[in-house]
Amino acid sequence: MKAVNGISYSLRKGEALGIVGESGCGKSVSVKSVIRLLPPKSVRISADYIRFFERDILDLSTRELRKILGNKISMVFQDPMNSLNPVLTIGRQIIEPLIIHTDISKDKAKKKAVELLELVKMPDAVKILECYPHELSGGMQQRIMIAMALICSPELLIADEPTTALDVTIQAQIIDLIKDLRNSLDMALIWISHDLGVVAGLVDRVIVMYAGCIVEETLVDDLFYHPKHPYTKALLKSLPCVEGRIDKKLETISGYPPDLIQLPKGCCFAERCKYNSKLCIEKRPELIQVSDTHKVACWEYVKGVKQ
Amino acid sequence: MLKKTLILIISLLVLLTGTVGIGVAEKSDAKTELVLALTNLPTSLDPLQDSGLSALTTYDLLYDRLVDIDEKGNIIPSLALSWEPTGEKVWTIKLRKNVVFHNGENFDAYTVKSVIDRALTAPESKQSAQVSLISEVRVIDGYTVEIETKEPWALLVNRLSRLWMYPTKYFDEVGPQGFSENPIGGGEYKFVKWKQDDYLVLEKNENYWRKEQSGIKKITLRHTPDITARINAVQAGEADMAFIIDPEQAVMMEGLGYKLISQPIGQAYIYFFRTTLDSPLSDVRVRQAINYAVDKDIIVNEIFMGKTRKLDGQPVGPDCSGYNPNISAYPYDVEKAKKLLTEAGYPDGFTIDFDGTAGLTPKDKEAAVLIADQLSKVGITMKITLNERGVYLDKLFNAKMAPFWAISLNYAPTMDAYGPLNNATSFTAHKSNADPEFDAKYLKWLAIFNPEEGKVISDELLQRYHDDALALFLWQVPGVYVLQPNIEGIKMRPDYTIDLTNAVVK
Amino acid sequence: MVKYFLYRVSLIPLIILGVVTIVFIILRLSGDPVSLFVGQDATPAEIEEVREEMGFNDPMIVQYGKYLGDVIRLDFGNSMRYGVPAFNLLPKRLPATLQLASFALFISIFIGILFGTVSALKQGTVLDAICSTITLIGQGAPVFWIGVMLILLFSVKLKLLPATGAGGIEHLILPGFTLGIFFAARVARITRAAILDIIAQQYIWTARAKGADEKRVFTLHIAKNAAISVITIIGLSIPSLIGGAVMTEAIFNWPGIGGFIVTAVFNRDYAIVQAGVVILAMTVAVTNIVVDFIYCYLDPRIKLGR
Repeated sequence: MKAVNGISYSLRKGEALGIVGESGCGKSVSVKSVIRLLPPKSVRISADYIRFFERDILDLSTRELRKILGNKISMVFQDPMNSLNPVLTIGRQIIEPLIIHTDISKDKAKKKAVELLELVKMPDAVKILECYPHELSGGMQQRIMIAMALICSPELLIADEPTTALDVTIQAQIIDLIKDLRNSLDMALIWISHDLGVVAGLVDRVIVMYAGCIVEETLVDDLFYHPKHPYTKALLKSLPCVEGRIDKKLETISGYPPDLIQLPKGCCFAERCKYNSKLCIEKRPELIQVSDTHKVACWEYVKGVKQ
Repeated sequence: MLKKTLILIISLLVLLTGTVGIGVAEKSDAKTELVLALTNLPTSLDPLQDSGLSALTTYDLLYDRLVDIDEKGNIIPSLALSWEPTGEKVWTIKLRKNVVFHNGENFDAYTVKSVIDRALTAPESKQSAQVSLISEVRVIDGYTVEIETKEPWALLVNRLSRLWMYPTKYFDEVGPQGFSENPIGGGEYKFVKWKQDDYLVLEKNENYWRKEQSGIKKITLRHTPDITARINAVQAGEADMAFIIDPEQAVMMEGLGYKLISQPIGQAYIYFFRTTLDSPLSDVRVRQAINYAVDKDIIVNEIFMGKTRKLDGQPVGPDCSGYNPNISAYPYDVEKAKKLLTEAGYPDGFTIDFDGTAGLTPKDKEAAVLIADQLSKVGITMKITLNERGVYLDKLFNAKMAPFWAISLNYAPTMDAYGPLNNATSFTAHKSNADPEFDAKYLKWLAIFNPEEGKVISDELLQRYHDDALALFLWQVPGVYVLQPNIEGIKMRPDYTIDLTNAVVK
Repeated sequence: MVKYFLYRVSLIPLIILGVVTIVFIILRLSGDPVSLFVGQDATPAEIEEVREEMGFNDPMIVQYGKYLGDVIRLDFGNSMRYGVPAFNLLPKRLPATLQLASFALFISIFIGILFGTVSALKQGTVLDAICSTITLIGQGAPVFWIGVMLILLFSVKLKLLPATGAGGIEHLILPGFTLGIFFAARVARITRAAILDIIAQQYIWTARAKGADEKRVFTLHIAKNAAISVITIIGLSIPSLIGGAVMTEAIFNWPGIGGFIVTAVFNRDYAIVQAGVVILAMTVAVTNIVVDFIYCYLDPRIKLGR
């Protein structure tokens, strides 16, 4: 099964990229495969290169890869309750990246942990170190995950739907926190979400994925105000509007995403798209540059194609 | 934290495993040493405290008694040289001189008095009931004692075979506890080391008084209650001899090249008839018919693999002093059985309840099935109840047995006919027979002192037992022992005692 | 925590009461109880004497009351065979059983965790298949079969190890393995299941995302969590280890308390059986409490008594 179907993107130092798409579109898998954080027996990664600064991640031995994980590239996962080891104290878990990657003494590491907890605005930081994950709320756990990810001052932070499991108010807090941190730390960020609204105020650029492919890539404002791909348009239309009539019916996209085991040979979105043409069904459109900062994969935008 | 806990646990386990010194079970490697795997060691090395039959093996090695028993069940002099009744209720016994216990103490008349007195009165003595008819023991001189009984008792001296002699002065010094920990006897072997319910080590007493002595210098007796463990010990070379194994296991071991000794023990297995109840069994012809209808040879050969003998129409074997050589077993004759049944009025047979045992003696269950099958061929249906020990004893003590019931009659270690004959009197708890003539003759027999006269009466009693078919006479309980092929010359007696005089380890 | 501990300990007398009451009833179910305390050759006079001594002629309530009073004073009656109070015979045989059980526990934990871990980490490989099969056999085969097989091979055929008795370390090996194999199999299966379950957990990926090598992932993250299930199972299985010791001691003629009770059962030496049952019940009760506390010490999510 092809979870990811030929995707390609790049990120600049300090830049924030959002990856959006519905569940199962391959956003999480694609990112995890970048850092090879998938079970090696079940998954095969085939890529031309995965470059991190000058080094190709594909060429790295497991040992060298591990030196980077938690150190230069960190990840925050979706479900904080299950992402923390229930039998270890918070303190031990937070300092773990330091213990692994540096020679720092345990005491110094603990001090750093307290710093980080204060950075993520955790009250009673010193006490928290002795607590166990189940004693804390979801929001606090996620802050800890973030603190843990940042403790080695990584160049890149990958956040895989970090607020999906949290309620809305906490969500807002976490997003604000990330914004602040980005400002102060000059750290690159990849933020994965299925929620367009969340990425809106947070990232610089956005990639939209569908059925393992990138269907649109552009600056965040352009995406919201000048979406090009039919799927993106449909997504935006389906967002509930705070203003306007309450009894207005929510827009949906009819149909279902394709079976990843048997992908159609044409455009993956074709059967749900209103422009469903013969070409769309026959051949898969490639991702083409339609402006300096905007790419889209749709026959609509290929010059010389009959509508 | 986890590491520390682990280390703690591991060191605890290693400590427990290594330092608890259980003891070393010795292995024999010299040609003058033997390791015997017994069914059990005595509960105590104080010979008055364990009255069980299996304790005899051990006691006989450590101690001597006043009289021994020969292979025909007759008493022969041991520490007593001669004995005779000197009154209606008095026996005078002359003792052997120059017998010394392992600690140098002398054996004399005072020893005998002390032992018997203690047997009668000490709370820990298990032999008090056995010698309770004794009223007084008198020392006449250094080597003569007089024993007076409450009633005339012909079999007194036979009964004395249950009492083992030990240095009583030493015993008085150290008390029963001290004696148990450090026992001293006068037998062919003396005490070296003992671990209760584990093993006992003995070594040769070089000052032993007997003319013929064994060449074995060291014996280790091992307490091995599990029958498979006994056989394993022999197969693994850890024991030279295993006591009491099943007939099938014996045949298997024989096939593997091991030696066997087959010596039935002094226990007669019979099915008793309750003539006191109103049932078809109160007719003597019916009882005789049952004796004719059962093929005892088949039982001995098939179930016991030929490793024992059938009873010769009497509840004792030829190793009993009371054995009557003129009685033979009822032959297997189905026609005669049918004829007798018809005469008695049961041409088509009848149904009768049967109380048996399961596991109390070897193969009791299997035999019951076989006998029921044989009896069914003459129309008798046995309704079998196999009783657990507790239930069996309950029925026995409270006279609740079925009209037809199984019993293993023990006449060891005294090897006289007392037990089996008593069983057919009306003086029992189970109340199966009440023949006033039989009772009277029995009492007369108990009082006759002259052995020949006594034999005449007991022969008559046994003849009556046979002719009246008071029981279905079956077999003698087997005693099968297996040995390493390089052991020769060992003899076993019907009372579990072992004769090592000619034992040789090749 | 202390309150809960006291509460659990206070339940033990109740458990013992239940056990001894059942024993009392069973004794009287099988007919005249005196037949359990005398031999076949007992005369009617002796029988009556024992009846009086043991109070079997009293009304049932009186008997029960006396019986409970005796039990509290650890008086279970005199052993028929040994003639001394049954309870006195047991404690000195305990060390041998403890030695055997500890050794068996030790090797079974070691082998069990080893097999289970290898099986889990190499899931799906031939190694996993081999380990799982051996584990299955170990768990399915009865203790006495294993014991007899081991004796046949190592004692009889190869003459490498002794078949019976206690002594040095070489006497401990066969009975220890016999007793331990079943247990090891159980531990292996639980270990395998626990590890597989934990490997699939999200926090293992978190650890990897932090750059932890597989060794660290295993010792710090997997092992500590798996330990909870494994240690719980080990603790809860200790009663069956004791039960298995009974059979093992009989086969190998090991001078422990288990074999002693077995012999007493065959001899219908009731006083010993009674005392033994109570001691075993106590052991199980105490073990369960200890396991509960170890469990809550290991897993911070569990708080007792709330």
